[in-house]
Amino acid sequence: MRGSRASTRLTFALIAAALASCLNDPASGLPVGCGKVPITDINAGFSIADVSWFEDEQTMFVFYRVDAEQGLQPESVIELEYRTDDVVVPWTPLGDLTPVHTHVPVDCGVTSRCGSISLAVRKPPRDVGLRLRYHRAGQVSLDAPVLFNVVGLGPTHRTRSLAVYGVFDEANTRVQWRARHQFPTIRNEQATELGLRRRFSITGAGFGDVQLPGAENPYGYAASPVCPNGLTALPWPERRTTERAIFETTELPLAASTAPLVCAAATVTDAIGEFTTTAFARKNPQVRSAFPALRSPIRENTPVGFLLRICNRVISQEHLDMQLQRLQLDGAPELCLDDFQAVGFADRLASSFKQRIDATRAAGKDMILVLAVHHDDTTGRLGRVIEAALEQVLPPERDKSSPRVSGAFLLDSSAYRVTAGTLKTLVLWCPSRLITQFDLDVVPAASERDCPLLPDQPDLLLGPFKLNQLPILPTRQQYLTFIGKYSVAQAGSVKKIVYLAPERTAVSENIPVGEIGLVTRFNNETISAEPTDAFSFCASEDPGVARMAVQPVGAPEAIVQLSMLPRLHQASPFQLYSLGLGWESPFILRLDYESRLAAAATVATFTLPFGIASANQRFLGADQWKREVFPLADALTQCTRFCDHPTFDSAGVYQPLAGFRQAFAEQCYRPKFPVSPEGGFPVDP
Amino acid sequence: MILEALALALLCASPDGGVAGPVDPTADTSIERFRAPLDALLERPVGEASRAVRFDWRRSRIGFGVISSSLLELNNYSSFRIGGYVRKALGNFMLEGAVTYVFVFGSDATNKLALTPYRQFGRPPRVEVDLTVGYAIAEGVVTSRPGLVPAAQLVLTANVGVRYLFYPGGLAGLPALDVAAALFAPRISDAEITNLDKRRLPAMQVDRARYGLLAGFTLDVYFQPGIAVTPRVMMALPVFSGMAGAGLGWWWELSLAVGASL
Repeated sequence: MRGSRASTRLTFALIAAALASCLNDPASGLPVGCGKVPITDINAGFSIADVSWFEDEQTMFVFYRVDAEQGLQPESVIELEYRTDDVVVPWTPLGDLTPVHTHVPVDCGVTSRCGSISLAVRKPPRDVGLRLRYHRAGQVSLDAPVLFNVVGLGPTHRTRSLAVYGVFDEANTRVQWRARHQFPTIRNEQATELGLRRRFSITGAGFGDVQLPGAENPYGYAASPVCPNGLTALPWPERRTTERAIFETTELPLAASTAPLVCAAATVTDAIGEFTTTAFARKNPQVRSAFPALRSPIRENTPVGFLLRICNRVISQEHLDMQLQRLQLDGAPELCLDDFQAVGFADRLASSFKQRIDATRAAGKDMILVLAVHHDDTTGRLGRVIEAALEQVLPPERDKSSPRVSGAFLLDSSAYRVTAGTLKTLVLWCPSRLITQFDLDVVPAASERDCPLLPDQPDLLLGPFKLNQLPILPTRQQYLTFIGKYSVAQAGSVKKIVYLAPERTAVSENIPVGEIGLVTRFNNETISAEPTDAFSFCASEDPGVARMAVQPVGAPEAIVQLSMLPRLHQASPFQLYSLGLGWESPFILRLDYESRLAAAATVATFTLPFGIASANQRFLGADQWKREVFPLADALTQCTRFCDHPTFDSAGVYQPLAGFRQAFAEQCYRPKFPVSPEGGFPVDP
Repeated sequence: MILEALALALLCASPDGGVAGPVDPTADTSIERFRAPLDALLERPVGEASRAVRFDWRRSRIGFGVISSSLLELNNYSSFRIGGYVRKALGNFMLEGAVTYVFVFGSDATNKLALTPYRQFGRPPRVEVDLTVGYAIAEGVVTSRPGLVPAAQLVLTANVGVRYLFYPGGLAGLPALDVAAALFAPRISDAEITNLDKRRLPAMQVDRARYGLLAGFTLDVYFQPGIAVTPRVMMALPVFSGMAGAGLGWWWELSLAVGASL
């Protein structure tokens, strides 16, 4: 029964759908589905019907494109009519006319008909008409809205329908000669697409230096009637093509290395005959990487450790043990802090540091001062005393050549933030002040930390289970609270600490920038430049590039970011620029530790702690010290010759108005040059 | 007349029917009990003979034959198709598959239409693949006239079928992946339209539907021992026109098939 109903419904649905087609035909929108098949208009229309007459060439060019929704048939023809003072040409199929130039058939698809033709017309034409006759044997036609232009006499480079110019390959040794269509309403490549092929030839090439016109004649076509005297002739054979480009088969001789351009006689044809004038090929800007890479060797530093503690009483042995374990300071010398408020305490502390540093320096390796501070001072005075001691030690060491003390790493009992400006770039003080309120159950979610070591996983409650994780460098309060809940076994442990810092040479120099920044010139890295040189800076995703700075040699107060070098050199060129690397932290430490995801199950007031261990690795300090090489080849390009010449963009389009010096100062210079022997039809919109 | 004279002669020769006379005691009378009157002999059947006229198409293993059709597409093009079919009975249902080639001809109207900017929907020459299901709604044995034509089994079947159109050359030059997709797409692609533009008739705008749904009736005339003559009328239902972009609406098809069922 159900099947019967379903089939009945399906039958009715099909009938309804079929009847619906009677109401509205989906193709034509007419209610014809039940009747005879309708007759529909193909909706033809001209999208291009452009006619240009060039007086200097006595040639009329016709470009057309007609589209029809349902397509055209092979018997459809395009017809042209015009009149001059001498002749009246009635409607004539284009195929019956004799073209001046070569026009190849163009396949625009079944829904379009397009093409072009060039006709010899001696006097200005008028009443130019273009139409589509739907069928050669029919009488029905569609008139085109013709765009008719007359190009009168004037400068050759503006009044000829074809200009010739040359470009060079990447090596600046091989010339590619190019022709470029110049029509009022049709673009260069569009003319090619519509079938127009122009024949041009190149002879009598020579290299040398010629002052070319600027933006007025960007391609330099016909800049002079003939190539100027003084050029060195090249024994190149005549080159001839009907395409838009052709490479010379022979390279320029070595003697032409300094010559900025090649001049040649370019001959094109028109309705009158041949027309010969000059064409110029300018060399591409000669560029190189200004400074391929900055290399700064990174060395492992020797930790010089101290335990600074209150000696006359025990504050928390568990906490003290944790500090020593975290910093790997077992057996480190102890310095008592009991009288830290006494006059001269900071000096004594600094003296102890210096003695041990000097003793370690003999090993020849850079050092880092590692301090575990165990105390219960909550006023911050002790911190300031330690800062005072470090100020006596670290800033002088900072500017020394290796071996020297790169900086200090300190694990305090409570959070503290460095106040001395000179130490902000030299000391990593843990734990962070921003996590002092850290109760193990309430972890600050996303805050910036000066010692950014927080639990990998915040507190999590799953029914009777509570999961938590202790930061590997906690305060005493955090640590004691944690082990009270979960036991010492769940607090994690440090396996290894490695301190890395750049090696300084005897000529390394620090230049303060701003409040907490420093730029270091490590090994007298300099960029040499002539006043006529030009630079191009390409913004890079590499953060190391953003840390680069240059300082003109002889102008110590002018230190700028690398990106400013192109403009700086344009405004006031210097011969030498020192290259430095900016940094905010003198070292980076790699911490390998085991953290535990501590868990406690509370059932009927009985809590059972247990943990899940995981190995972790963290870096503290400046990431830039993870590597020794900072590549600059892509970021900074230096032009040393022909810097005002136009060049190619990354798409391979020749940009005659975009000289390297102006156009690429703050843009990436990644040109795509033509490659011999490719020719044909280069990208040239 | 002859039979009546013969009967009279026999009556005259009969002893019961003649003049009474003396009985020969030596006469053999043993055969008397097998004697019968002529009337009785005339009324008595002397034997039986029969010949089957009903064809049980449900028990046929397979049928095949040749089918030709004329398409009444309601446009100015003429279409004629010819091909072969294979059919198989399943209970009251008849499944049929057919492959045909469609010849398409223009007309004076289309030639004149080609001189204008107008087009009419049509379909170029093609191969059609049909899958049809029929359900017998009436059947019986009929005698034929003239009498030399043997009696036949008539089966009236209601049919629904799906038709797939394949245009030779339509997929030329397409990448293999596009061909695979286009083969089953309900709508003919632009690339196929480009190829078919060379094969279409003047003034024809190619209909884009690749599938068709048809419904109609078939009259199967079966002769012993299995010869089948099948006139059929089908109507195309433009159910999928919107999806397929079809320009043809309702149209008819008249077919005649001749074949055999084994």
